[in-house]
Amino acid sequence: MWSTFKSRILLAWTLFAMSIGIILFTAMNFQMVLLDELTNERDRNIIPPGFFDKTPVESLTKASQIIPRNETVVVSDHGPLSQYFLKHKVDVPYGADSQGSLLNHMIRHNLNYLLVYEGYSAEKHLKPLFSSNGLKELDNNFKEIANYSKDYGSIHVYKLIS
Amino acid sequence: MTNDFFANKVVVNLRKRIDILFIAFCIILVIIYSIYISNMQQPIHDGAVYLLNAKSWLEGTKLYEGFRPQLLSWIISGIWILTGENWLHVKYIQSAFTIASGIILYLVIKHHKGPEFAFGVSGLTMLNGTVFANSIQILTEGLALFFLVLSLYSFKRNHWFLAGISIGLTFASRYTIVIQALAIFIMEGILVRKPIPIVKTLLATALVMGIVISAIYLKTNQFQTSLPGDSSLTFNLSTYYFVNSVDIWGLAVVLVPIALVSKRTYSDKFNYTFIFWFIVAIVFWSASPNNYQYRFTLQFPPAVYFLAILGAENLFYCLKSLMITPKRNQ
Repeated sequence: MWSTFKSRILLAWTLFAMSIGIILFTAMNFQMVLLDELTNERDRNIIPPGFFDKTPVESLTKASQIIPRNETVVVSDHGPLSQYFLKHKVDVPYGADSQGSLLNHMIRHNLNYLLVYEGYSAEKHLKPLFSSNGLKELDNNFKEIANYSKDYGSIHVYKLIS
Repeated sequence: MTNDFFANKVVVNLRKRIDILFIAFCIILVIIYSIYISNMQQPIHDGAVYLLNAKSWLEGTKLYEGFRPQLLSWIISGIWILTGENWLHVKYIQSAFTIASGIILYLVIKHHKGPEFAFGVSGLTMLNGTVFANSIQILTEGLALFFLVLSLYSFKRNHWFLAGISIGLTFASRYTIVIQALAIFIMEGILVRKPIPIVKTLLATALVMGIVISAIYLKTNQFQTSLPGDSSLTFNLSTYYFVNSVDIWGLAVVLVPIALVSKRTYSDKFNYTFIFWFIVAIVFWSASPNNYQYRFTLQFPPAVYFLAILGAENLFYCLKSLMITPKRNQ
């Protein structure tokens, strides 16, 4: 009976020590979890690519100075970010599924400027067009007026050729 | 007897030092937050929306997204009235609220459970990766956590009117988190069983929510709390948060079932609020038909870690009772 009692105490000690170990491990694992959170793979909704890259904001600020004040700018992605730092109204071309429909959309709404985050498109059908290879197709109807490089791809500013 | 006296003296001295340890912990946390936030070079999507909404309130123009909770944008606008518009000035707002929520959580739990327990819960909450990663952004999660914890503190300290204001501000900071605040209110109301405090809370809540809803309605001619796709619930609960529980809350979450099945847990009415808070929060978020994100769990780590530490405490008392039993038999 005494040995059963001793084994129960041993089990209780083990469980209690494990619980303290688990709590301490959870606390000490903080840095590893944090690094994991700050990578793209963990949670794409929270940490954007280029979180620590200052060039997008600098690029948008420079672009705002070459686009006339009253113009609405069509942007491929990052609508709120673009509107805040460009200090222009922006339009994300949802519903456009090709360069032709993008052009129609811009002509119909009298939109003359296009800002492309290379490789990023909020409208999934335009992703091939705004990729590194696809951007060459824009030269037929647009003139590139600015190009800003950043760590996670470039930002291109185009004006519609009238 | 000498050994017991010495052990008690050690415990008393340790408890005095835990407050100092907690202050040191908060200072280190502030430094870590500062390092990450100072390196943040652009706001994320939602952060930019809150900045645009703040600008709209200042300039009297149309809101960029009217369905977003506006309290953060109001705070940003208030700061910009004093400092001029600059997004860099408002990068640190959320982290300040998150750290403050950790301090309030420590105070409310320490009062009843002791400083070691309080440090465990508050420390684990502040060191939760999801809490931290979201608190370095211009978001509303930390703001909602602060007002939610403030409502808990107010109830436990019998400030029922302040609790109502906190519930209203929880609603204003992040609409859906009011469910958790109301869960805390319901349980505290059941425990207190007096009508006057309950009425005080209801009046204060209605007042603050009324002001918030009116202000937004006057600006936008409507009041919307979410996008249409996110406004439905289902009885077919998702297992997403259970399956990812260790990823979200760490290994400590395995101690939660120990707390829930222990008889000792239910002998202390202080625990009931945290149990109900945990159950309501996890059921609510699991009832979403299609939108599951780790950051939706950001407001109830205090309940999770409270139960985890309680589970460890229950094991300790089980051990203690086993060790006392043979002495009695002698």
